[in-house]
Amino acid sequence: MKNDSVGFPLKTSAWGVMFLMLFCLGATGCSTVKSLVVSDKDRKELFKSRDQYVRIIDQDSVKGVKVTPNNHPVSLDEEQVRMALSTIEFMLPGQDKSFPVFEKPELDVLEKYISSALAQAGPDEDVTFGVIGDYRAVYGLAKEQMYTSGRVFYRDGKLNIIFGDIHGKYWANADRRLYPLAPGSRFKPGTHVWRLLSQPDQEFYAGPEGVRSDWIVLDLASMEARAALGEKAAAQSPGMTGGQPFYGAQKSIEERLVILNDLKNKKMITEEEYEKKRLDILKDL
Amino acid sequence: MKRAKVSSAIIGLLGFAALVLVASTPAKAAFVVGGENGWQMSYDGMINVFMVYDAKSQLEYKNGDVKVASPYSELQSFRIRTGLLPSIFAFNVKSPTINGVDYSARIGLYPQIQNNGTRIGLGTYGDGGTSIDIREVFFTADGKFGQFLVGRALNLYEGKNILTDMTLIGNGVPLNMTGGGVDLGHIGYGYTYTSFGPQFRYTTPDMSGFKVAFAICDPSNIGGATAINQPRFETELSYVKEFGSVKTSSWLAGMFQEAKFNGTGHKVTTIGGAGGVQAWVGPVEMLVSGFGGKGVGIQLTQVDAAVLDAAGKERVTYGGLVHATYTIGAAKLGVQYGINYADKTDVDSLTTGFDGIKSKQAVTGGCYYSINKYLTLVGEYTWARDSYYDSSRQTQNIVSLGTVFTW
Repeated sequence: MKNDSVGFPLKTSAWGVMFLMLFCLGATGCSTVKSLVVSDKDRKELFKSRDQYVRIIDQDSVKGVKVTPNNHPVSLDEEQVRMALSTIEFMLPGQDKSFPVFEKPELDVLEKYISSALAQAGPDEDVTFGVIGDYRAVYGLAKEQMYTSGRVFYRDGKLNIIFGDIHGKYWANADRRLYPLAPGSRFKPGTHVWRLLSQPDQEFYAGPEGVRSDWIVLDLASMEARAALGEKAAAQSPGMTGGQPFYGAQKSIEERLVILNDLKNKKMITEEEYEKKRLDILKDL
Repeated sequence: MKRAKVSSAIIGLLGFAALVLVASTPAKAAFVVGGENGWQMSYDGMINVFMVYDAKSQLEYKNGDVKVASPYSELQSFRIRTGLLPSIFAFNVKSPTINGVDYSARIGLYPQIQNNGTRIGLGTYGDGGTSIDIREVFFTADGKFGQFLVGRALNLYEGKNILTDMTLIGNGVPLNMTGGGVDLGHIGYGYTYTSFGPQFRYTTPDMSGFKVAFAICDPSNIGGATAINQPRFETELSYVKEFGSVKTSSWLAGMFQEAKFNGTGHKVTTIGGAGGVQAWVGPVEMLVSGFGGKGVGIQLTQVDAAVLDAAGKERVTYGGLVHATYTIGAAKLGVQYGINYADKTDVDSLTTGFDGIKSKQAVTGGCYYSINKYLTLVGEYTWARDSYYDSSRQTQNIVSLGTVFTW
């Protein structure tokens, strides 16, 4: 049999491929690497950090069903978005306490990018997000990563959030094409074990197929009014041991009465609403 | 009769042990350390333990004549051992995003649990004992450009074939009855074992569901050909797409490498292709996968006895795997069948009484019950048969019962 002579065993093209790979690997560390693949999706991605994202995407739809346009673009303050998101709580089966859906690091990201995205989105576009948080595990000795994902849009003066998952188990090395941090859908209610809590100024979306437990509608104007009054956001749920969240800073009864009076004088609330609310505040004495 | 009594007793023991496991309370696991300054370390892992009862026939001809009489120890055994996967303890380090690039590193240690057949025989990795097999040592750079992976990781060729094996967290076919080492699942019975190896790999970003990966790999011996002066090349094209309520994942993979025999300088080549389609429809999941090539082998890619014939000519081998699973609540039920073939070469055909391996087939029925997201109970029954070109064959019946704790 022929004994080939010693020398370069590969064709020049093969060595070229290997050199190119090494060069490209080195280039990743030198500077910001421009995208080799530019797509429309990239143009509308406002935030990206590993698997975390905030994007503007087309409204989800199914053939033959007309989707109600959103009231986009809409200008919402970052504080408004943060306030709304920070009041959302959920419970897990077998546990007697509720948890906020978002903690500070997630709120820091979402308040900035969701408000920005809603200001840029069109009527036929939604804002989607996936954020990963570090949550206490092993009695606080370590942390466990969990993700929350959802679809956000503003319609009829209310902020809608359809959750894909809340505090879902996050596997860092999973193929995201198969296991995406997927937002919720208008048309396909997700299956989940968590239960969102019903809070004042929050209601579950009721569609033709019934009430959606993964789709929450937040009345921002009402929240703001409550925040101005320093009212409590949530009624104590049975078995709930966590403290009640407040909209904004808690105010004294005197401050709340003054604000209420201002709202009446500015004709922002009716006499009837004023009297009802005044009695509610006085009950806290 | 005696064998039947022993078998019943062992199966009863397996059942009792399963009940004990069901009643146990799983521990909650922890994952992440740090993260406040953007650098984060996490650790994940898995421990699996299986009780395996294996009854194997003699190597016999179709007419019942025994070709080679096996000792009792090779006809029936009970072991407590690692399943298809070793246990895992892995460290991960993640950087903050630096100039648009996310860096990660992973070191995965894969220890096993079994003795090597004696009470005090801990053994070493070489004889399949408890020593640590360091399978993963790599770092990655991720950005809009895709991903570079550098280091030791699962190879691309047939990588997805093993990852989609229903018995991946189960046991399947034992590697052997009395020795150590992990069991096979359906390695050799539907695909070949690609193993872990050093490589430089580039993967494109997601392009509308498509990804292409290309790797320059540390080469392997091809059968007995050990003179190697070039890398092995592997590639994979994968595609994920949802069609209405049907979610699909498909892939094609390829491999190429050359090596020579010391002394003669005779050159041999490995060329392999592999692929598969996996689909999910509600609670039903289905898989069809396959492989084929020359110089690939029938069980251990590039290195088993079927890779080359006696004259050093590459043998053509091929095979496939199909399975269907159905998830009911926390339980997943499934059936899987796989078969590998090795064709005869011209030299094989001219060899009088050639008795090389012809095919390896196995069917497994399994139940995988998740107590919670960390703990899974596994029960499997597997039937397997190896057939040879001299018409001899050997059949196994295996019952495996075990538990997998993942964090």
